[in-house]
Amino acid sequence: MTVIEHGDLAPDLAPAVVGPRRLLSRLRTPQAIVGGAMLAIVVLAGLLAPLLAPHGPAEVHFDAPFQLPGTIGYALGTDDLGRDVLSRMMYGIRASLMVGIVAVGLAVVVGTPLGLAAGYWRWLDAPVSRLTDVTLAFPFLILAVGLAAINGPSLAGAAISLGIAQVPTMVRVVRAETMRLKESPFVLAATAMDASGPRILAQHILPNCLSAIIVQATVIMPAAVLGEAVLSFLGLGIQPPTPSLGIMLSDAQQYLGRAPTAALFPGLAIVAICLGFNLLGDALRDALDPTSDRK
Amino acid sequence: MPQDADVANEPTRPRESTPPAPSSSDESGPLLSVRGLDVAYGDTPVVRDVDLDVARGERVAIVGQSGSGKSTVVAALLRLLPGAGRITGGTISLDGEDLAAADEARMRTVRGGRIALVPQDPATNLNPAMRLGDQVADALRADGLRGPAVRQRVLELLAEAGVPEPERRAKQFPHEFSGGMRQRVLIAVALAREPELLLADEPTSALDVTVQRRILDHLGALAEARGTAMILVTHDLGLAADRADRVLVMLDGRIVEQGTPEQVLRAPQHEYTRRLVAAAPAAVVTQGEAGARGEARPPSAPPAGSPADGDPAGAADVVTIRDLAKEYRVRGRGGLLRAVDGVSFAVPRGGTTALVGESGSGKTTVSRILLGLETPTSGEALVDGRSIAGASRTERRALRRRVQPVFQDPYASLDPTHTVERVINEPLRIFGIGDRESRRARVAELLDQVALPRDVAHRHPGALSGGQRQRVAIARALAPEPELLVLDEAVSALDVLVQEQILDLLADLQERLGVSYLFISHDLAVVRGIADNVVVLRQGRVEEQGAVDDVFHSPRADYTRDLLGAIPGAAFAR
Repeated sequence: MTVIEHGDLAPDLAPAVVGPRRLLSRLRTPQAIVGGAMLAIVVLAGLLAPLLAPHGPAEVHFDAPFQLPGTIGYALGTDDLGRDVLSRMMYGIRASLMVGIVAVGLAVVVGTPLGLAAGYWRWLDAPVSRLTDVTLAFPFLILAVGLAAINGPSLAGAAISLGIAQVPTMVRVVRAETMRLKESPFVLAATAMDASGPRILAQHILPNCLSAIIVQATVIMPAAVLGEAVLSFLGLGIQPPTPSLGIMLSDAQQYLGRAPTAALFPGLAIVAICLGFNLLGDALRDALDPTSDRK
Repeated sequence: MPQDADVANEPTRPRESTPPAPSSSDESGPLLSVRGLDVAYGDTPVVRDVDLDVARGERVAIVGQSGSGKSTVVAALLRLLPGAGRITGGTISLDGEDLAAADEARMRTVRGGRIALVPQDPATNLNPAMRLGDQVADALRADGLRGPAVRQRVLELLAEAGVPEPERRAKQFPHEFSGGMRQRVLIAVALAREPELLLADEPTSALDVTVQRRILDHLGALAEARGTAMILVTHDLGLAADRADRVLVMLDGRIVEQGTPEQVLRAPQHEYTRRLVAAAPAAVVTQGEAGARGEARPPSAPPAGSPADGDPAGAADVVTIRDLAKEYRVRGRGGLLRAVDGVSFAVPRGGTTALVGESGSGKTTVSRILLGLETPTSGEALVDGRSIAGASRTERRALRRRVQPVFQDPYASLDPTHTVERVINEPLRIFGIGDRESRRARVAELLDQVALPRDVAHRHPGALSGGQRQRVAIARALAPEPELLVLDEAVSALDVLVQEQILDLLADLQERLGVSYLFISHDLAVVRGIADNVVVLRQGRVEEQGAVDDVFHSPRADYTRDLLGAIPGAAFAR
């Protein structure tokens, strides 16, 4: 018998997947750091609101309306009813992020199986794809507004409407990945060993779709947060006096001339959330892509 | 389909391997002289201390495996290093001018004008949205040519490069051309400005062997007629020996050997070159001499009572393919493409049958039908007398257990998210073989069989080299104890030395386990080394079949003769 050497001469050039440890080191880009830092501040502010907020979110101070930022006791000023903008903003971030998380969760939970099925089984592709096409034909916000009107104005209603409106984009992403992976040799090998369709989807295709799903989630998240703001602004989302960033904008709009700062800060929070997720999502996409190896 | 018929050029092989004619007549010194070239990507040196001289009109081949730095040398000569690549030392002197130190403006006049590149992949190196004539004209305009002379010259160049009907074809787009025709257009582009030096970086690796030979013959003839010097970069030692006056062997960024083709092939000095020559499959294509691998092979008539488990019938053939046909609907034109057209052959038990053909010959379709990944339009593919198409669910499962595949690309055939253990374990779990403990033991045993250390089990495929991955793929295929492995170009993507190791492993496994192989390949030299029987496919039909010695020594079909003649390096295998 011939002696067979263990090691081949071929050096390992491009690893096909990026492991968690490698991922962290690849995420050390300015983009990811800035995005991550923005999100960290906003998320912490929201999470710690009950501990840190100087006032209750609906606490009214009729003696101190329209205070300017920097006023003692009201670091970011007050609105028309003398409510502390900083406190309301911290609670508002909680509500906005909650809506975002529920919406993303819904899009992932509904969109992923649909996308996997449509990409894998040809006969399912046409009905699912036509349905997503029809849904995508409506502008996202108009669809969300319509659904919210049906669901009734509430935090849950807004979150579900926004989630449903985002399902089609998730379906498309997962479907495309599935169709690509379905033709890959390792899936063919699994088919040749008589693995069933559900088994192949669960064991091979879904794990390989994960990075695409994560990246798409970071795209959906800011859209949902923005959508919540719009719905609440229109009175279709969270109901006053519970604060949300959208409601704060809506309330402040009437008095924009007298106290523009009451609208400015919640607006900035929305910007921070959206920009943070977009930057982090971009960086994640690059970091998860094994072919984008830049030194 | 466009054909690559050569009209005007006479085959230049076998060429007298005269030493390069040093052009003592005109300027003294070599055309290109590289001294102590160092190239690094970031902090990683990839080319180290390379010296290289090219005389006017000389043909130099650089041979090396992937990662040896051969393509980096070419990119450095053009100062077109990708990404973080940069020249860290040495000089590149073209007619006495140091290109390593030249500025970008100067380089623009050198690129294309004095040094031209024939790139590797004809599929991606042409602009798909631009007529081919215009792409050649671009090169001419860059040289300052204007007016109707451009069109005239474009047609001349295309005709010279071997594109038939240049007037008509210049107006076509790249997708209307075959791979070989596109490569001819790229050659026309490279020659447009009458360069003094041609860099051909694996110019034909993406093409079928017969097309490859015609293109290289043509390129050689054109270069010779113009006195153009050429650097041919290739992984194929045989091809380099056929086509060059001087061969340089690169390993790990260094030139480890150089000399005339005879010197390098007959009396290799460096250890690596010796192994490369020994492994070069073409060297096995010799009369009489059975070749190193030939001895390990079971005799052409395999023993009938080979230890094929499970099937007491023990019929002589594992696989019988009868009148197999597969049609595909061609999109847009509403026509039907017969990818496989009445193919019949058998795979004897315990032996290796090779299915040989160029791209589009239908060999992969046959294998997919056999694996139950496609259904035939008509005819049947029988495994142990039963057909997988139309089998019941349980029957299909039993049949699939007997036939397992190994695919070409070791980077894509293993799920990157699974560990090696899980990859090899998967078929055992699906076929319900053993319990958790015995499966674990079986995985370890399989790793031993494919000569991989057991601690690989907990690694991901991403941490393994190409050859190691292919071993894992073989272990996975062997796991359910199949009777037949379908090896679909299983060694084509590997470097020559790794390829040899895998072929040895396959021969060894066959001897020990009695497993039969259907070895699908476009590479006749490899087939010669491993197969007992050969089936030659062309455009979905069987062109010729028989025992490997008969087919190689006295091919009956013209096409087989053509294929055999196209094996690079055959001239030196005597």
